[in-house]
Amino acid sequence: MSTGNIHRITSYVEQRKTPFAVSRLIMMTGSNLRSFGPDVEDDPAVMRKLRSALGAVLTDTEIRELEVQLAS
Amino acid sequence: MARLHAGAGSSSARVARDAVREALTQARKELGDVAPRLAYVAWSVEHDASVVVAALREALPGVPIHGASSSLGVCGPQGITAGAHGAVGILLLGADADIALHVAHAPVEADGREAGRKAAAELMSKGRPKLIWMHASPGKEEDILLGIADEAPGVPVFGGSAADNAIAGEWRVVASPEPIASGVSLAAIYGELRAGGAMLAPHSPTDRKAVVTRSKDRVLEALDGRPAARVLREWIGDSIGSQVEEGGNILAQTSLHPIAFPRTGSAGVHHVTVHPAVIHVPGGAVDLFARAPQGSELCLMQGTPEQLVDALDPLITAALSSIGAAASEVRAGVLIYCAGCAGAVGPLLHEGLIRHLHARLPGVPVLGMLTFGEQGHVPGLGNLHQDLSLSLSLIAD
Repeated sequence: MSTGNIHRITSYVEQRKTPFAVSRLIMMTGSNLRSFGPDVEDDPAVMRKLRSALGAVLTDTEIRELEVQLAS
Repeated sequence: MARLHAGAGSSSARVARDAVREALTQARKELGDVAPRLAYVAWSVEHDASVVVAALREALPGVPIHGASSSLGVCGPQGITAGAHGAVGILLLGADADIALHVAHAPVEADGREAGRKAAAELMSKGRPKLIWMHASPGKEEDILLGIADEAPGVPVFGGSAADNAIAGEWRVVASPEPIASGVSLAAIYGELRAGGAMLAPHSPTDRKAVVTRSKDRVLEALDGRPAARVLREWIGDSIGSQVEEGGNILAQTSLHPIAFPRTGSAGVHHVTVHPAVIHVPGGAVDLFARAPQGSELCLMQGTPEQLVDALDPLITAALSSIGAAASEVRAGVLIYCAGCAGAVGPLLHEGLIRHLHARLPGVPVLGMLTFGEQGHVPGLGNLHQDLSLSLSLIAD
């Protein structure tokens, strides 16, 4: 199981967009994403919902950039 | 000469006490030398509600406090105030001696009507208010409004349901001594002044219609004799396909495609919008954030993010018209904007608040909240609870 990717995604959204965008993701996923720290295991169900919600707050280019960062 | 005075402030400071202090400083600056007689507060749930309210009580000893938690952040003419560690918004009201402001709180247990009745009776013991502001935990708002109507018939009620971010029950309502998860907070204004407002549904009706053939309270079971989820899928499309098959949350998909019950008020047709929340399998029942009366006809609504933002303009017009005031005469306002709409609209809302609210009510202190249900007075229909809606209440001398 991966670790810290939910944190990396929310950090990316917070830096590129606004805290409001992260709050929207929390609403869309129904999960308190801010409770996932860098050393916390990623919950697969939350990760799945988060990935499907990203399109509402990030552009396609930003999502591709984020995927590269997550893969590195 | 103004007889009602107000000041508003907001803060996204990291620590709750600092956020209260910062928002209060801004509000007090606008209020000037006038002593506050009501503190109306909203906060997002990253902050501990108890700390927010305790900090406010310490800063304003003896001043009645009213409010609730808000989803995503708080808002106003400044746009959206939201921070990684939370947000606080405060509206302070001060007034001459002939204007009164009171609050009443009640826990909401099994009987929502009784809670509304109890809180409203306390307000009515001080006189007949011009307007009541209401915040309640989500679930029994219709009953609470009935209870208020029992004690305060004809008094317009405006407000919004307490909210959190994750729809996880983290919302809180101001109560005494501590904020509570299940309760109602009322504030009322009394005296010879103009107080009123408007509530509207920002979506447009479509020609897709059906009759509620089976429902229980806030669970929509069947439309035209078929499982409600199947009908909604035909109307909305594959975006809710997996939830229809497996069950699940459809709040995001239905923010721009809610359902509504058309009702005729004195100003024409008013759409009581309802937000479909969760599909259950097997059976295809759909949880709602408001009641679906059995036997009534509903229709599918549709909207765009731009439409949901630009609805602020007719809302302001209708609210001003309700009190017969020009913008320059308005002393304070409370904006209620559905959190589901805000989630769907995103950053457009920030720009829209500045474009509409700031531009059309220049200099007017307004506290805005993002809520999980909206309550407002509709001429000819009375006080209603609905979803995915906007309301604006205004006070003028």
